[in-house]
Amino acid sequence: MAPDAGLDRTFHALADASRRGMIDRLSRGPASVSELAQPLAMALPSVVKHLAVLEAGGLVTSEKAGRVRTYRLAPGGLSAVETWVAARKAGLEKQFDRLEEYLQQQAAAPPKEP
Amino acid sequence: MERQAAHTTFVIEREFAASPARVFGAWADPEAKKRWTDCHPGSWTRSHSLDFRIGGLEVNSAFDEQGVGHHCQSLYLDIVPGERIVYAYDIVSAGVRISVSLVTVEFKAAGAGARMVFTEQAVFLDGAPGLEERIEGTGEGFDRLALEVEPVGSAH
Repeated sequence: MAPDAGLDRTFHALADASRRGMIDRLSRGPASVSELAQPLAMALPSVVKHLAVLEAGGLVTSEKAGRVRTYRLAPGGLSAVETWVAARKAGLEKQFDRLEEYLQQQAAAPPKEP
Repeated sequence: MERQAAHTTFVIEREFAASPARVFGAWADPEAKKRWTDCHPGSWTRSHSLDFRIGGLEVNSAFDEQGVGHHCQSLYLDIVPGERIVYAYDIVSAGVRISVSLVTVEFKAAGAGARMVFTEQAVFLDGAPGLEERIEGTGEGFDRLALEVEPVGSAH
């Protein structure tokens, strides 16, 4: 896998607020799927899908013991602060997308004179 | 609680098909600013006020479905119309101050449009507890992300 493809997957994994929430939860220690699902008001299959994206992004690892699969932050994944900055940048980029939309709308329909 | 102060700087550059004056205007006008910065789910209640002048404050408050408050307050420190804005802001989520930042936004002509350079110098406090609440609703938007994080250290 090209390094860029790995980075794309990492960014994709972080681009969702629920997944960032899971990362934050795991930064406080390993957790099972049901523990991760509990504060999210989300069905277990959805949680499992999100965790698969995080695992593909190299951000978490998992291991199964009996019937319980436990997730933890991947060693060598992003540090807490890097995750934090990535999340903030994602939020800002989203706002700047909206700024761009606003400017386009304004150009299409200039505001009425008062 | 273990006290931490982690410092970092990051930069976001964007180009717009609008003049620097118009991009600047979207930061300066309270109605415009409110429109493009509203990134919380519709179920949240939000209030926004902007006093855009040097020494003026901007206050952004949002309350989620559980009534938990998320507040962002900015103090404008330098304003050069059409060219530059410098402000300090903090984020307080569920009563915890998550971060304090100094932001410089520069507007420059680029072709027929404008280039905007957003530089944030941030200190993240105490491991940024409450991360998931704060970032709830920021949504997608990573397509343009280029991570330019300078070396991050937990102590300087």
